[in-house]
Amino acid sequence: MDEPVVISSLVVETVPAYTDAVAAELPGIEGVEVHGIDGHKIVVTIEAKTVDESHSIANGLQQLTGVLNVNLIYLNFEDDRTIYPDGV
Amino acid sequence: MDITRRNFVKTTAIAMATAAAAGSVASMAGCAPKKNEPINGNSTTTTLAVCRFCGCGCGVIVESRNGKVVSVYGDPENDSNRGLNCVKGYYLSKILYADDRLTKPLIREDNSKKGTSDGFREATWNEALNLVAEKLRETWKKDKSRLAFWGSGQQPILEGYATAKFWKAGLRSNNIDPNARLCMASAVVGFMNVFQTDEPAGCYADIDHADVFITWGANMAEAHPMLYSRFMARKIADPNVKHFDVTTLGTRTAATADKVIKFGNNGDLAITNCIAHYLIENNTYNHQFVTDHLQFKQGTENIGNSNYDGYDKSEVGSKVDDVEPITFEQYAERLAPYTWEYTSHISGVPEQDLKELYELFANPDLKITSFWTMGVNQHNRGTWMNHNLHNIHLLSGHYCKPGDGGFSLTGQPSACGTAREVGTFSHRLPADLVVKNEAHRRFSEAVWNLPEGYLDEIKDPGFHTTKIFRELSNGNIDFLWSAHNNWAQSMSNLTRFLGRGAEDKRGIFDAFIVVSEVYPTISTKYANVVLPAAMWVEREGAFGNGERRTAVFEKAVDPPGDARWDMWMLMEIAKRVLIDEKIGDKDAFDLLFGQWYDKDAAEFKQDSQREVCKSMWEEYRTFSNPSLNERANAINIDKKLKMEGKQLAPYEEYIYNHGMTWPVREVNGKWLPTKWRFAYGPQEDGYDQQGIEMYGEQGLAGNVSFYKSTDRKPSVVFRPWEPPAEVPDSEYPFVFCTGRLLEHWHTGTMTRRVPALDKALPEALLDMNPNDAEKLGVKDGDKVKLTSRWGEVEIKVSTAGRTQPSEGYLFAPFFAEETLVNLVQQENYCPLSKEPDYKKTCVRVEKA
Repeated sequence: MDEPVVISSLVVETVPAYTDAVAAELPGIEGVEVHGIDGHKIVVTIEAKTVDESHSIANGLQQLTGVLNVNLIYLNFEDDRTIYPDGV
Repeated sequence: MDITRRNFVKTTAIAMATAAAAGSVASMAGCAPKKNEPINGNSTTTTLAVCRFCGCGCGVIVESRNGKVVSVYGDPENDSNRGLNCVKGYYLSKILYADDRLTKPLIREDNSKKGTSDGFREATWNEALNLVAEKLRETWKKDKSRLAFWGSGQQPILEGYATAKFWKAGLRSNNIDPNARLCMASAVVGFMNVFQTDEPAGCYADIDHADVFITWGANMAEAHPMLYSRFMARKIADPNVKHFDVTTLGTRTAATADKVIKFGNNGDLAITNCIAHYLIENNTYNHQFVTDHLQFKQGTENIGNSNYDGYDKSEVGSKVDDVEPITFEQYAERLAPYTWEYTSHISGVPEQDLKELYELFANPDLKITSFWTMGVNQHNRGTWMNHNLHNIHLLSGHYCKPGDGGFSLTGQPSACGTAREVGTFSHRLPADLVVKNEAHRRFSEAVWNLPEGYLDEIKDPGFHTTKIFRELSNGNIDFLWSAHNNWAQSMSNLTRFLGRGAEDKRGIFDAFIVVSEVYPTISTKYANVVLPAAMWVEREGAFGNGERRTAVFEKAVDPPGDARWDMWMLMEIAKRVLIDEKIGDKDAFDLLFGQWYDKDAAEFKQDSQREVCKSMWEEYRTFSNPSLNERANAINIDKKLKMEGKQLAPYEEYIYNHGMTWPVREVNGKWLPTKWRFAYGPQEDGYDQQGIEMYGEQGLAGNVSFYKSTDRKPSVVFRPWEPPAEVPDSEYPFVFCTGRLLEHWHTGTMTRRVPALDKALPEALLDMNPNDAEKLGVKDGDKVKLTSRWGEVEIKVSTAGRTQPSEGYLFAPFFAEETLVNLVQQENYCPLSKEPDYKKTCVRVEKA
């Protein structure tokens, strides 16, 4: 269970009519978990091996139908071996 | 990461995002470490910071462990972004850690290899500093018109302050200018001409109050994503809120607008005059606001174009700043030609759309927020267009109320804090003061403890940016030092400025060029010495963002290798250049910098960067708190300078409060920011109570008082439509516009080192209308040659790119060094602001 992991959390803003559809689609994306919905905003975490992978996933969310904006809230990358090959 | 820590980190991440989604700063207070307590476990150190990229100026919190940054999150207590960051936040961390960081000073040994990354050797700091200082001192002693410093809106505030002090008071040279000249100068001259004080009156919170947004030449969705997100949130909260996008191009911003108004041919000048005309013609202007607050003027017209070296001193070029008073009736007469029909003819905008835009301003009940940026500023009449936007907001009384006003967006993290507020321009002194004003020089001498009259030697402005590079190419600059910028990619007409044009324009190869940098760039290829700098949170600094918010970023980690703090480099060079120089009977270096730097011990006198900054800030903030200096205070009162108009707080307040918007006022021992300048109301609620009570008048229209303006009345200056410098013809039939896209910030020196971003947007493409592509017989991915009157460049075509140009228009981003689009960029600037026009060079397209 000690796999390296970069953890980030985001708020995905959606067109209100699409909020439920986006929230249903998100868990199908690898590394993405939905933790709650507040109005048109969806609380999401992304777990991936690197910051780059995390960013790619976040960028992908931006392309989903009904997504207006993706806000990054928190990013922990102490496990990213491309940045810290020997750890921190 | 073990399972316990993983759970802890994830729980933290979820809690913070949940709080941010709730949108209440109060609900997030538990997450934000007011006094920097770590939230990510006890072994981490938590420091306050500001994002390194755009002018939004978002607050972030940085956590580090064992000298390495391990996490970054949006600062919920920074009122500019309230915990949100755009996806660029992912690479804030990574920009510190790319493989090719500059970690040793480099000295060019082989000048024949200038323009390439070869011909350098690694050097010690002592060697590099001695060489730089020797060349600077030699030039200074021989002919100081032949030296220049090119700074930046990315230079932190105090480094800009110390550099300006060294250049203006130490060398007594005005040949210092920032890259903010390329992005904000037209906004600055607009604000100064209209209000006699720089920077917007409102703040980002205007977004939460507006009924209508109008974007003018602003692709906020890509260039200001955090603000755009707040803007979208406002629209979702109230479906009646509308967005009008006034643009020359289809963009992501246009894609979400309720109404897109596409214009060409400098039509924005005509559109704004048309609105003003019908406000008066239809008697829908705000009478009380006009009576109480406005004066009217007209200025020099038919000002031609600055696309040749002698323009500034030409008959018309030397009169562009002249204005004369006119009556309201005369102003109305000047506007009379701007009928629906004429304006539609000039701009290409249907009359009905013009009427819709006018109706907004004619409605006193709406709250209208206009945002504008590079489409307005990088314009051959950029200052005029800034005037015209202020004009329509002022005439209609849509100004200085929450959600109701004009807001010029800024592009760099400290274009406001450093370039504009410190005044690192060739014509300025700190805090809106200018070199040509005698009282301003006397005041600056007082703060800097200089003999009276000492600054008279710099009463004439120095070289503005384009002038610096023109003279460099002409062989008239011997020493250039640049920091926090990448001029060899961002300047206009690079064909000339990189010495790739006519043979007599090769001064760049002869001049001694110093570049302070963090990564190799195209500018370092032209350097004789490269000084490796500490970046972002590798040292302490402060930025001032687009809403007048000053925010400190603390040092979190050490810089790599021998990279050093820019402030240290400056002190070491200044002490060498000023050796044995006197100001009066005092040692010049010690008088200017002796409070902070011990030149013999070669170290700062204070124990930490925090203490250096705090002490230097106290001197800097004397400019806006003149009562701290008896001599300055007497001049402020005698000459009615109203320096408190930009009042700044003690340094620690910015850390404790996670940034504050100036003027910052002391009320019962507590420092409070001002969110809405010139609007009367309780200081506690962000209104300008103290400023108006000190210098303004209460009870006027809108409860507003423009106390910094001459006679307390902003100037509505009539500015006519005049054509672009280049209009399409049979030889150059396309209008070519350059700009920024989301993934890459400016010239890409940081963002292109992040593999994910590079992959997302790997190359600069030429966006073209599919009909034009068909006519030219080119398809997506084909390489074409763009040729202008200034140069040529090869680039690949895309008809499905990020922007959607109309027929006859083209767009390309300027981030790619290998596709130097500015090789074709016209060498033409707004004659008033000297800001280049990057938006409408005429080109032809041929299959390569």
